[in-house]
Amino acid sequence: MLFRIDVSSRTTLYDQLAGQVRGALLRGEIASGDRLPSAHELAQSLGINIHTVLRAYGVLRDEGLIELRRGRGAIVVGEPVQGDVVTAVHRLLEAAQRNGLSLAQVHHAIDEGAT
Amino acid sequence: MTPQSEPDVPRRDARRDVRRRRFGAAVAGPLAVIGAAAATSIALLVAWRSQLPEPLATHFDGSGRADGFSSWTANVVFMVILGAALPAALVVGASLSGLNPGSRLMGAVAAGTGTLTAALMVIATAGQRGLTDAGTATLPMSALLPGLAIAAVGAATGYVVVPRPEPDPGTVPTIPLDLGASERVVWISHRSGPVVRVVGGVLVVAAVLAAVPGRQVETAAGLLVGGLITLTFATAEARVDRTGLTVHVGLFKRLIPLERITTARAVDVHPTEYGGWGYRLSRHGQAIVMGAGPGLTISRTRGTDLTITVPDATTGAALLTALLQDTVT
Repeated sequence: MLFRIDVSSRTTLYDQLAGQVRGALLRGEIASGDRLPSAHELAQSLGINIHTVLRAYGVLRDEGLIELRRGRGAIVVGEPVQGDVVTAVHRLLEAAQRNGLSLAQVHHAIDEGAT
Repeated sequence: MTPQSEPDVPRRDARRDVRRRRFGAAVAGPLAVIGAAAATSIALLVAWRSQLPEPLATHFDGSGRADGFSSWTANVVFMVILGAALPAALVVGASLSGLNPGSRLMGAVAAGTGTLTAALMVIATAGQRGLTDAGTATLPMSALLPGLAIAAVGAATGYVVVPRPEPDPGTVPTIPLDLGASERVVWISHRSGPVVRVVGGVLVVAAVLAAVPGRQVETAAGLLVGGLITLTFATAEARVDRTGLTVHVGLFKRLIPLERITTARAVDVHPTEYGGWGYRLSRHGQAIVMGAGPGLTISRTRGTDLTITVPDATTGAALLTALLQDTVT
């Protein structure tokens, strides 16, 4: 799994890291049961403070995506978005492209549909 | 905003079909040789049964005198397991990743082993026809020579019946990651071998069984050491960051600094090409092989190439190549 952060970005480092894990789970690069690197390892490799990594792991734990177990480290427990939702998303984007809609218009359509 | 295209499904099926054909090509010939040799020897054992003493002589000392005996049934079972099932399992296991440059040699080894066992079984038994007491059976070393010759023919046959694999398409040039100046990146990938854990566990249990009731200390110690070494190969991890490539297998952890690395690429590892499973040395250099599949290979300023089988090796190679380029500029 790739962990990629931009120290000059306006997004906080821990948010970037949490986003990396969420994205990897969605793309199937990691799955439930996989172990994430230790906070110490990750902090050292990225050259950032260990507390930044711990905060990112805390965010993911609060979201229910990972569990932090003593001795075992951070284990992925979350599931990626359900397959049929992903398929529906692709169909929606295809339809939007056919009709020449922008992404913002797609978001608007979803918000309309949800009410 | 790119919609996913449908053709992914037919592509996956086509790849699966190709893999099945290549697996079939790698095993069909050698299995036929193993089967023919085993069938011949078993047929002869059956045909000769009434003429053979019971039990049969199955082991002979240096001067050719019989010193080990077992029943006719045990011989047939032995033939099936050691002469057929084991070589068959060997060639099937080695061919799971499909036809590869090591497949012909594997076919030769499996077919040769099966043929040798069958031939020696027949030779050892043939001389006992008409005997009532297996204790009088003899088997001089010279009698084994025809068996070796037959085994050589079996091995050669097992070699030629495996088709030549397609030539290596060559290494696809690694596309380096596009690293921003303010970006920090690390790639971590690991692969576990559940079979390794099972084998290691079995060895440790066997060590306990040898030590506790039978007090066979040397055997227990050997099994324990073997089991623990096997267990350390349960997981292999590779990490790429600005310090270089870190390889971590069990208690063994080593950083190869970026300055010592010249190139990085993703490869498709077939264990038979790299000399098997575990820590191997071959014409490809050093390798940590957990199984068939993607691997990350680096070339170094000093020493051989190093390969480690981990998933997503393409990304690891892309990152390492980008980091190497950054140090040059």
